[in-house]
Amino acid sequence: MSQRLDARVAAAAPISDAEVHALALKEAELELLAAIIGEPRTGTIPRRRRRRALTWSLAAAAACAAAVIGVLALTGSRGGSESAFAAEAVRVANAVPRLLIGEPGWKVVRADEFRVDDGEMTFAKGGKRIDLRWLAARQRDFKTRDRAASADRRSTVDVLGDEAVLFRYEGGPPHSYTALWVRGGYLLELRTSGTSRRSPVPGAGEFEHILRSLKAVGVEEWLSAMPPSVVLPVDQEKVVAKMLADIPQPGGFDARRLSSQASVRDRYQLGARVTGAVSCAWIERWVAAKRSGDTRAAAEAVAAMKTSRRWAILREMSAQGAYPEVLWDIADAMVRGGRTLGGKGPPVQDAYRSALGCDAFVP
Amino acid sequence: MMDAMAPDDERFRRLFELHRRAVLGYALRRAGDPADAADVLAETFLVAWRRLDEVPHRAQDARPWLLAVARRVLANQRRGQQRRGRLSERLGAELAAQLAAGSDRIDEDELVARGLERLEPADREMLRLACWEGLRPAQIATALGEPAGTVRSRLHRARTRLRRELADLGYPDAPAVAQEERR
Repeated sequence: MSQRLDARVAAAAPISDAEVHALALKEAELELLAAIIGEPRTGTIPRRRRRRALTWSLAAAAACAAAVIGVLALTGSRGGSESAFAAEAVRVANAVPRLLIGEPGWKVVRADEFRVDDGEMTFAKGGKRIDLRWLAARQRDFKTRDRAASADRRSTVDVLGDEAVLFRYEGGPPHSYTALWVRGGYLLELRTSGTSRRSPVPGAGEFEHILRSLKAVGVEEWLSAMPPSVVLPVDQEKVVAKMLADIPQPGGFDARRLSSQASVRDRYQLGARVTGAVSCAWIERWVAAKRSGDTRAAAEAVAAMKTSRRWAILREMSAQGAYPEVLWDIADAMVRGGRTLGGKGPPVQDAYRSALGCDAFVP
Repeated sequence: MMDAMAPDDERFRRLFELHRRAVLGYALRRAGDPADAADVLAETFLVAWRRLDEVPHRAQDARPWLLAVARRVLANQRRGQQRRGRLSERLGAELAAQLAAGSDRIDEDELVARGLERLEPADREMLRLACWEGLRPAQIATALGEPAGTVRSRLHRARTRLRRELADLGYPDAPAVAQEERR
């Protein structure tokens, strides 16, 4: 009907697809690709995870976080002697700049993703949050150019004898701040971290004050500052068993693989891993049963998922993020035999794998 | 655990490989300056990298998702709230050099372009997404963040309006194009 008009409009494009494809840009594109992949993705997952919006990607992100990150291995009890920490943890701690905020009241609330060459921890005090990130120093020029390009004001601040460059973003209100400096072969970045527009963020003066208060600490003090939500490998089997206590599991479900990896896990992420793995197994059976007409098996899966609103770990997690809501929505859809997102979304069988991050639970 | 990042890297590389020129084309057709277009490309894929979990897996869904991001990047750029990033510096320079030869647009195309310019921005973008980016109505809905149900009728309306504008502008083939409307 409209092909002729559409063809005329297409011909009037300032540049055609064929012309765009003919451009000789391969090297510049590869350079861009490398630069983007060099950009850290840390920090984005926990922030999104804690938003309440009911979207698939949120839940998947929360679930995948556990699979993608979590490199530091600790064993033993926090507050113990240095030898109580696993060799890998001490190796990381020995290598990286161990900084803590010296201002009273600031506590590490998130440290679930770090390794020697790239890491991040979040400090919080009274709803305000600040991220401290470290990267190999070779990224300094790129980072500094990048921040300078998108931030509006800059000054310098002395941080433990190193000169930090302070940037202010005008993307507010509220404004956000970031500081970059080099210390011991690392590029460090301290930046305000608002979880939403309504989150309180430190003002310019307070941010600078916090920056100046950073203190270098020893290995033991630094490792001991890890937040209580971190589940150490040595405790994981016990914690997983407790999480599973009120969750019906399909026959043949192997719970051991949930705690088999020797890495630190945030309790929320471990909860997502546990509830997600069980739910994925049930839903998989449900989909197969529906396909084969096995009404008994389908009913069994529905009955199991129906109990999910009472699973204690999900109730605990629901105060922190959207994973439980997404899981419950899928369970409700199974009960109704229909669509997700309150009946308006895709059918369960099309949505559940990405929604719950099932692929991340494959051992 | 460290090599757990590898599938993401790999997926992102494929995403970039598959859609980079589509996003660049989208940007070049809308940004006044090749360097701005390069910047839109860089920012769009930076967002995709950071939000890779949200990027749809199927290529036909990923493209409108990326164009929706590109649209927001472009809008921010136009509002002047974002300064140009340096990720795209080299690409912008190479683009500018290659595109410096100028347009060899023929008069007829010029007239259609003028007709498009006379449309409401929403109608214009609807037609551009359909005809320049080759998106289907459902994909246009994703790219514009609007309900899929309304896109078909709005697209039809936009075409009708363009035909009228072309007729007003004395488009040489206006009767033939207008005839389509009655079919």
